[in-house]
Amino acid sequence: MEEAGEDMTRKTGMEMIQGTLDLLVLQTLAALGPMHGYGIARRLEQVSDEVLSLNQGTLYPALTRLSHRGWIGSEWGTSDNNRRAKFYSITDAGRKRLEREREDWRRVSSVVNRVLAEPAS
Amino acid sequence: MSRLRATWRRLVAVVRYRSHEAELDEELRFHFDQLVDEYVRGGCEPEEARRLARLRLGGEEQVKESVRDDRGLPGLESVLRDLRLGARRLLRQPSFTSVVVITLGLALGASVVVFSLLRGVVLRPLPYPEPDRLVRVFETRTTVAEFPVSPLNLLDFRNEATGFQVLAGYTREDLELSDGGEPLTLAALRVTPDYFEILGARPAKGRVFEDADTVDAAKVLLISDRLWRTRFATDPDIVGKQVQVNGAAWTVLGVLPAGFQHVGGNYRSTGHGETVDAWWPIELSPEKVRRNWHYINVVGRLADGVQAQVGEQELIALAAELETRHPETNRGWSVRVESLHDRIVGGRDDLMTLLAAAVTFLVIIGCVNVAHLLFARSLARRRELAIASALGAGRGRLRQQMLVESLLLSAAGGVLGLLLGWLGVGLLLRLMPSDFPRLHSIQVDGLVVLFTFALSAAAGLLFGIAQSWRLRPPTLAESLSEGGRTIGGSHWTGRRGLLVALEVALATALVVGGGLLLRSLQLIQVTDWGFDPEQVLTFEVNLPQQRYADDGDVVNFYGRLGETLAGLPGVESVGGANYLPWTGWDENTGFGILDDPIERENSPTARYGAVHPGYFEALGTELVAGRLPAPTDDAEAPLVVTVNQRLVEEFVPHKSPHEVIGQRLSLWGNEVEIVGVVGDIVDRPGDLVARSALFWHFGQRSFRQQSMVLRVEPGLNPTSLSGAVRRAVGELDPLLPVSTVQTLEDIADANLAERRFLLSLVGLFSLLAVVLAAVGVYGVLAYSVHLRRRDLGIRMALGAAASHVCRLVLGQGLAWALVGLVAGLGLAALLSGLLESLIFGIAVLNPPTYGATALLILGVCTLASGLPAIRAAVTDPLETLREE
Repeated sequence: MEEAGEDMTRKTGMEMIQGTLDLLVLQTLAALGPMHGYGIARRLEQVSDEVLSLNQGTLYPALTRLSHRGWIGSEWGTSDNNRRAKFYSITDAGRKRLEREREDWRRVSSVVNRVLAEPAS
Repeated sequence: MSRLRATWRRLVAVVRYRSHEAELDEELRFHFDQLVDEYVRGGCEPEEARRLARLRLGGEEQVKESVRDDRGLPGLESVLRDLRLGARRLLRQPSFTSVVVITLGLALGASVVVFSLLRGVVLRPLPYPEPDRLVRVFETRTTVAEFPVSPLNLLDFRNEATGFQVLAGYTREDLELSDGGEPLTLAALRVTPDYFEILGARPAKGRVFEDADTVDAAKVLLISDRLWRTRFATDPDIVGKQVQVNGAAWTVLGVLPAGFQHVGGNYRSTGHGETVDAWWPIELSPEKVRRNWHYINVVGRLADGVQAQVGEQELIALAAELETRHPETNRGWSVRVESLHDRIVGGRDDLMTLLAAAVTFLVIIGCVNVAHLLFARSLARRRELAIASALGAGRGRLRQQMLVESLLLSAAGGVLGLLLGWLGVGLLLRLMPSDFPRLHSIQVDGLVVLFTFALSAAAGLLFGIAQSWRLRPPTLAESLSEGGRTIGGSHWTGRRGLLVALEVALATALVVGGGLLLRSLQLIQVTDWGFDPEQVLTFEVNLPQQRYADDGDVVNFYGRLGETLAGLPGVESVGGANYLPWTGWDENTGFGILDDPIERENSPTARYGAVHPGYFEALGTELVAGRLPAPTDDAEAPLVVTVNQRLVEEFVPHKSPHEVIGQRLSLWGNEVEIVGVVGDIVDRPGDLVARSALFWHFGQRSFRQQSMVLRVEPGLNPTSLSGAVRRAVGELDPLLPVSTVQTLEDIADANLAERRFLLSLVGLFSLLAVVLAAVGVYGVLAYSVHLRRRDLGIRMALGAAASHVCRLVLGQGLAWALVGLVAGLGLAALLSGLLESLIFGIAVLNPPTYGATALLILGVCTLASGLPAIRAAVTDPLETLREE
């Protein structure tokens, strides 16, 4: 177990900042419409050029959390290969939330960027 | 808002746990399969693809666990799950579970019994409005701590004391009901009308007394609910009806409600509780009563905001003033005020504390045993814990699991304890002396149930915490490789040893207490009581004043009754007196010693009675000097008295009993001569000295209320004469009721009942404590032998003799036991003050009792340590070593 964990960290190369996963999931669902968990994971990995690797233990709790807050909804449907799968989609509340999160992120990242822009002594 | 919704969904998720689990399963399965597909498409072998997918995704159980944490209410949900799991796990180990539950059940059951007792007798408020304001008032002198109050003093107190809202008087005076059916003696109180006001009693029917009713001519009475039901068949029109009482027509004014309780009193009163059949008014007019008759029991309600001491001060000042106003009757008299609660419950403090201490010890011993078991089990479960933690259970979860399991156990113990306690209280009520204060208010009520569950929950929490205190789930590798071998160092056994010593100590202290009580009861039973209770039948016959107005008629009646009874087959001697020993009844009088050489500050006082010829023979009381009362001591003969030995010692110390014969006394304005000295009878068993007493001879002073005593020949059951006795009385006067037919042994037994009851409870607790402590010694030692089996096996393989191993283990067990024993004896000595008032005839530090206890405890501990020792010695060392 231990080894596998280390392996994964090395491969992803980055740790998720708390809360950013929520933002990414919301954004993905807003941009691409209803998706199942696997699709979300794959999509995030592709977009990040495989830098971001989601293990289930991170993704599914996040989906549960977002559902409970009412930001995403879920429905059982049929996948491309004709299997039953749970599809998540963003709700109106979720869109509002996404807007706010996006704002926050921009603000935070610009601050961080500004700090980092100062030459290291 | 979204937070609120999230909480709601979480709650819903708890309820819909199962379907959520299934959905999650399916979702993860789908995810996994997709990933596998992708790897296969990328060119992997299916087997390899699955392996990669599994690596990529992480442990499935861990994923589920973290989703669960985010989904429902993880706390509640996991508690529910742990409850289910815990219950299942406990049921899989029935012997462990039942030992724990039974141990807890016994300890808690005992505490239910004692707490019900405490609650009913001490803690529950008296059943009157504002019971804190109720007090009893007594008169006192330097020689006698408390007397009933003189009726005229009471009238003065009522008129002049401002610290009291009401002062009511009552005194016992039974009534004879002869209203068809068998004549019946009613336990009756004469009361001032405000008696009911003080106690807040409203009649269920009719009305209570008014001042106008307090003339003897009124002939009115109130009856109890019980009498109304048993004798008057709940007659709805009873109020206003005429009934035949004391040979005349009386009017029933009302019925008191069921459960109305008398405040009790020690002078001519029934005990506290529902013991009164009827009430009738008392007339306290100066024409009818005298100031030097002290016979009224007084209960008072303090004025609002007045403390009992303040009320007492006021009455003391008033009494002092009465001394100057009426020096001839009131000199030396003062007043004492005591709260009603203390009065009713008082004197039982030590008993209650003793029982509470005993049951606390028992509960501690029980809990220590259970803690042992749980701890040993948690060590045995290390491997299981390691696996659980490898599968993703955090330390918190494991702690919670243990806590939930402990709470389950203790709750089961609590339920069993409640059941046992409930049965125990039923048994207790049958065992307790019927005159124990507030007996009827002892029951398992809501508070007792609450107390039990609080106690069991506290125990459960404690166990859970103790169990997981140093819980560090070992890594899987550690635990799987160690084979459970490396635990249980000397440090661990040392601490267990201390706990065992604690158990032994508490059990020892309990056994010492039980032993002292047992020894003291035995001593009381072999002490000379001054009378011989075996083979004696007693009963009461009271003559109504209306039909037996003349003293001659009274003497005549009892004389003829005595003759008839003496003629019954099997009767050896017959006598009578106005009251019997150990019935709680007494009469007191002042008297003078003529030609007295001793200077006295206070005039002598003594108990007095009036006895028939044959009384002392029938009672079995020894004649010390002079002669017994004789039929010839009649109204014409010179006035004579018999006295007891104590009176001679106390008031005529310069003379021997023989020299005192012929001594003249002044009594009730007459000159009387002592003709006999009899042995002493103490007031109650366990009293160290008797009170001085003198006895009129019945032919010279008669009383209408008489208890008759019949001694029958050996081999004959005294109660077989009850029918003959009733017939004999009926032949003389068919209207007379015969009451309280009982053997003298019954009377004596009733007086020992409280001691027996205390002994049986403490004895039972001691027995339980010893058994539990023995189980504790055995359990811990057996477990330590189990842990050290490799070490012992090596020793034996290297040539140690079996006896050596046996001694080694035995020695360890006995070392703990000895420490506990010494501590226990010390503890017993420390607490011996509690027993001071409860034991009789021996010192609280009685060496034989301590010695016997030490031997008993050592014996039990040797047995308990012996079994594991022998087992250790007979085990084949090779087998033990191979087992590893």
